[in-house]
Amino acid sequence: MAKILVIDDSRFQRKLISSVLEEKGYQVLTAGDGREGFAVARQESPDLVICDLLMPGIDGFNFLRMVREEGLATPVLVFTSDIQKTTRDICLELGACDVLNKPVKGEALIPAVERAIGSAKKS
Amino acid sequence: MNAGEESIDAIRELINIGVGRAAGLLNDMTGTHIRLQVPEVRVLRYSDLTREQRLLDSAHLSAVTLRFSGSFSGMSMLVFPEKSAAVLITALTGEEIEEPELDALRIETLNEVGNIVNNAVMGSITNVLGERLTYSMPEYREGGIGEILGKERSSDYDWVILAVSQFMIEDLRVVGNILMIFEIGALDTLLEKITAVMGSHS
Amino acid sequence: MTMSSFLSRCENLDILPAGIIILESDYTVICWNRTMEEWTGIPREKVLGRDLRDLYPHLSDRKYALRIGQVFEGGAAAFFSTQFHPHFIPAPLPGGGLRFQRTTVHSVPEGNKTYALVFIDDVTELIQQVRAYRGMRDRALREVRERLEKEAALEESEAKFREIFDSANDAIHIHELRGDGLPGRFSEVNAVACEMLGYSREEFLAMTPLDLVQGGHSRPLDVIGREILGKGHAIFETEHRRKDGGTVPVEIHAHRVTIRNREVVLSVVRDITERRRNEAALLALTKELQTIFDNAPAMIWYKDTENRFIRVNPAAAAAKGLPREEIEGKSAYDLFPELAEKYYRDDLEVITTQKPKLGIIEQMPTRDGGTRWVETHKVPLFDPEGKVSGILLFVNDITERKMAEDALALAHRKLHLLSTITRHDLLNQVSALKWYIELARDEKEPAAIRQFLDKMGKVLDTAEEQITFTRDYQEIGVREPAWQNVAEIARRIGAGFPPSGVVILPEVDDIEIYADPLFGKVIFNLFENAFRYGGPSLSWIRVSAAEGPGGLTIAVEDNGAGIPDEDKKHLFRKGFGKHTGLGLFLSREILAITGLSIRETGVPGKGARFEILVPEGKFRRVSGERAGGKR
Repeated sequence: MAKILVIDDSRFQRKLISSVLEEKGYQVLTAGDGREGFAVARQESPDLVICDLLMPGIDGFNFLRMVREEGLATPVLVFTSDIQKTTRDICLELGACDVLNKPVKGEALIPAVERAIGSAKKS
Repeated sequence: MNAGEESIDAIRELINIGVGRAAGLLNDMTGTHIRLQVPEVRVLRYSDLTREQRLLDSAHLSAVTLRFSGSFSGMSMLVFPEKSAAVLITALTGEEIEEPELDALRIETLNEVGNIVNNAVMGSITNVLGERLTYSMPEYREGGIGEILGKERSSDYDWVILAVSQFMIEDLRVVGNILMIFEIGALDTLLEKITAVMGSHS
Repeated sequence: MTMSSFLSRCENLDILPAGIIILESDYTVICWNRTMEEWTGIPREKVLGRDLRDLYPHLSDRKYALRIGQVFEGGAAAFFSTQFHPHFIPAPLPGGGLRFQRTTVHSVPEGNKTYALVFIDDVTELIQQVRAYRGMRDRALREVRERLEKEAALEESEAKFREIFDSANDAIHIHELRGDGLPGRFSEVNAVACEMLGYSREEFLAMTPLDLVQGGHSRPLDVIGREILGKGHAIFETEHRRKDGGTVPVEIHAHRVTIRNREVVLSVVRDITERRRNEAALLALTKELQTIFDNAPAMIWYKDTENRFIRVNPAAAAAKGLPREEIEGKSAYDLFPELAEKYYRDDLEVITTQKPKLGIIEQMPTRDGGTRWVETHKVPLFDPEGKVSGILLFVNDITERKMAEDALALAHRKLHLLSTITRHDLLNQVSALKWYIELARDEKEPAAIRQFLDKMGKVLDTAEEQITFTRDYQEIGVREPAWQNVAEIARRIGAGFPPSGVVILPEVDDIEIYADPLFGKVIFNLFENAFRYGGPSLSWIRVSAAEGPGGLTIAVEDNGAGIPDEDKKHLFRKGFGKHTGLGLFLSREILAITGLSIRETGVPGKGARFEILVPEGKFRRVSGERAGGKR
């Protein structure tokens, strides 16, 4: 089963997302900010990264920049409470494979995750 | 009382969701991108609120308040320091403003901004908690923090969640403070519910 | 509440002036009040039961959907302001345009359903009023702000101006400017102005500058006026009359300026009494100095620190024999090649010590190739930093004074000589006279006595001659040395001796020597000595001259007995000799006056030979004509 890295500064969110994913049998790794997440992403080469945007230190935008500059192949799904269209545009431009808005119920999250992993495998 | 780190984290996230949604709405309405920052969330005693000089020690605050009651009661408000409100309105409406003075139309506009933020934050909380609350009509208030809160009711309040959230619009720093004030016992109820929700996910 | 009760309520809602819509959570319209019908022109039959989003698709936009969705979920009322949502449900106005709306969407829970009640206010009139008010207020505010800014700027500049005005050291007059260029009434003056002329400010303000002018403008008043009108400013000098009748010379800087929208002239008026006084004093001083410089008998040379002449006065130029312009700017090395180095050494001493060097006695070549004796004072000149910038030389020609001094010394010496000689000679005659008297006393023979008397007469003649000669001496003694012809003197002196068979041989060419006028006396002494001591072998006395490396040697020699070796040592000592010895001593003294010397080089038994050594420059050859006498 696929390995997913969840990066969110909120423990509440990490738990929430992890529980949804684990329920579906995904292996879940977590990180509390962009810096830690990037290290884990490089080391563990997960099949997908689910990343929050607003985080202290290295935020989601900068995480996306680092992933692109380092040429990491892992797709990044942005999972944010910021529902601005402009924010979405910025994320996609920075290489995010998709942008999902919080709060999300399990039934919306899982198809997005599957879509992201699927598209990454095809390409 | 000691609001646990986990509870604070959860509240911060709920407020985050609300602010993010509000920003999205404002973005849709105005086309202006709003840069959000991680909100600073603190739980403090109501009596200590007026000591928050950095944010609230001004005789010229503008606030849009929303009262709620139900399983937990209190007041949510968006508070802007002096002139920030007018600056925000100018930035959002693109209006050429000669004097940052809040006339009826601008107050109405600010009311909508407050309404969007308050509703989004409250919606975020009630959405997660599956709660239904009763709301009063939004109100616009001006003055010092005491005047905004309404002194006559202060004995009913005990705890306050102070979330400092900054909106940055095209390098224009507008600080919006989201203040949630809970009537005695209400915060405990909220925290209990949050813990329950978190537990259900863990 | 049931749907029917809702609808019955809608009937009631018709009387409200606000637009009211009630929606089910799927946006199905269940109420559309009369106001909505009026505003939209859509009767409720055509709306009820339909999805409002079909009629108004913009409501599907997220900015509406999300918020209305929250309302359906039981959230707080959503408020849509006029600013952001002026036309929630577009409603045309009779005169064109759309109504401005303020919309609130309330959550209305009814059983297990939640309805949304849309309440729309028409705020068109309010907006128009507010807009009009805003426009008016903004314009007013702008005007007020502009005026305030202008006033602040004006106030600031006025404050600054006032400060300058009051604290200036010069008088400041502000007066009007008439179209014809002449000054109008004073509008303001500062305290210095009042003090300068003794008028009060009020007195000033009742006058014009024309009331002050006394005359003495550097340019005619109308010319100045036109300058101010044309160029905007003018600088001129004039004289102002004080209230007490006195006059103050002033320099005026007049500027045309605009003060409070009026063209005026601002004049800075400086009292130049002191400056005038200083200028006059300076001019007088300059003239004085020039007069001194031009007329001083002393030579004045003004040199730089590099041995160059910057300025010279007429006396200096005359002494050098060149026009001033040919001296000024030239180096001492060009003008005085041989002495420049010496001059510069003295200059450097003055430059380094920064002290005057006085009383330098030195020589200065003249235009005719001669040399003058000068006394020089060198005084340093300082630049404002205190460095020596040049040297002022005061040079006096002391040639005359020096000769006078020399002459005085000579005269003194000669007087001394004269008294010695006179006493000596007279005593000789007195001795001779005494001797003849003794002889005559013992003589009985009248003829012999007569002989003695004759001889005594001759002695007395000689004495008389000598006394007369002392008068000549005296005259000669005060005279300066002179060029004298040696041969001529020898012949004259020789002729003075009685014939004795001794031949005088003046074997000298026309040579003149520079010697004391007593030089003849020297020759006389030498001849006399030859006669006196020559003895029987003496037959000639020869005077000759020969030029040698040390100068000219004049030899006076004879073929007499010569001078014994033992006598030669004492020959020129005073009081030596068989006669008296005074002659040779005197001779040596006389010759020494002009630097001549004498020695005896004869061979005893073969004759005496006196050599007079004349140094270079003290003898000259003349051709034919008679030389000597005064220079």
